Amino acid sequence: MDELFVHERYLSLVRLARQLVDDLPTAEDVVQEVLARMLQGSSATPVRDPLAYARAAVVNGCRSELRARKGKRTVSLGVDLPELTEEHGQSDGELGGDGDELLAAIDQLPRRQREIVVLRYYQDLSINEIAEALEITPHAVSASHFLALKTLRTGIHQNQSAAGGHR
Amino acid sequence: MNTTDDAQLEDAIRKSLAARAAAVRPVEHSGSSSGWHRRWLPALVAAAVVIIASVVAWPHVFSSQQPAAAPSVHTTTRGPDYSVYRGHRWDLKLSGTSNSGGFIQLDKDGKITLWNTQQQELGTYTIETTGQLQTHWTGTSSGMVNFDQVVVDAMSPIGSAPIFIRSTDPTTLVLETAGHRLTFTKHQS
Repeated sequence: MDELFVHERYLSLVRLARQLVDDLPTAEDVVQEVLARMLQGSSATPVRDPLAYARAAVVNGCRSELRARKGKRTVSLGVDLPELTEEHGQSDGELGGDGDELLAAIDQLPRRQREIVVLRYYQDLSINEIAEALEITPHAVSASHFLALKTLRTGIHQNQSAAGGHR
Repeated sequence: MNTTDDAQLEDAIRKSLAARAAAVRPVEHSGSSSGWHRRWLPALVAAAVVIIASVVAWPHVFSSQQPAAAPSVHTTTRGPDYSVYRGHRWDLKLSGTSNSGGFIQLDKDGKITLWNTQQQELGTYTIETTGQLQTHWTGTSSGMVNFDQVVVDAMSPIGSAPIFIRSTDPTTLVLETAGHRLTFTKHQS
């Protein structure tokens, strides 16, 4: 892995991380830490599939972040990275209320279910690819995936019923 | 539950996650944990130049001054590696063809914006300076505007409009789009 990989993948990895943590700065921290580790270790141990490796490492990093809620870290990649921002207004405008509620529901899923939903529907990974990234069995992925959809579906129906009741 | 419900739910999840991802995007001109922003921002703030070059009709002389065949031409939304251009002093020449209209704007923050005749923004680039963007500029009747003594540290594009970057040699850098041309020539001092 080299600096070109960092430049090409930084934004997409931050976007992935942002799906798994609560704010953009944390997502950037996680990705920068992963990339720094990869840059340092790339000469010693070449990675067969850098993107898959980075993706799995980002998911793991987000998980650690959610567990530990560590303080702000400063990692120097030694690479010029683009400054990123999150434009909430546009997101709201595109999604509307239902989209926001759905995102909130996804964020409230148990950690593994949330990871699986993000990898399945944002990264378009197959069940087997998700299993490899999360280092669990495909069966476990399928089971969690089923539960996640069930939870989301139930939440939507409840919200729709509540909205109907208020009318 | 039925298949239609599942498909709709999955589609809604995809759209929601995609929208949140799309909301995360690169920006310029503000503080950052990345080092290069800290490097150029003070210099840009110190530079008190606001120059708007609005060109109604570019003279034909420039339409005939086509750049030499370029060994490398990139169409890019991210820009090439500008490292070879860093740390040198450059003269900027803005030009456009007479039938293109539109204009190029260079603001005090070093942001270059290219517009077409419908005033649609074609693309925006940022000049990061290690020195000061000098206030001196000359506009001539031939339609040429020179921005002298700009030290280019790096450049990065904003937005998604494709801009052709021609690099004929290490002394020249050309940004070109839809009849507009911005040429950096290595300063001869």
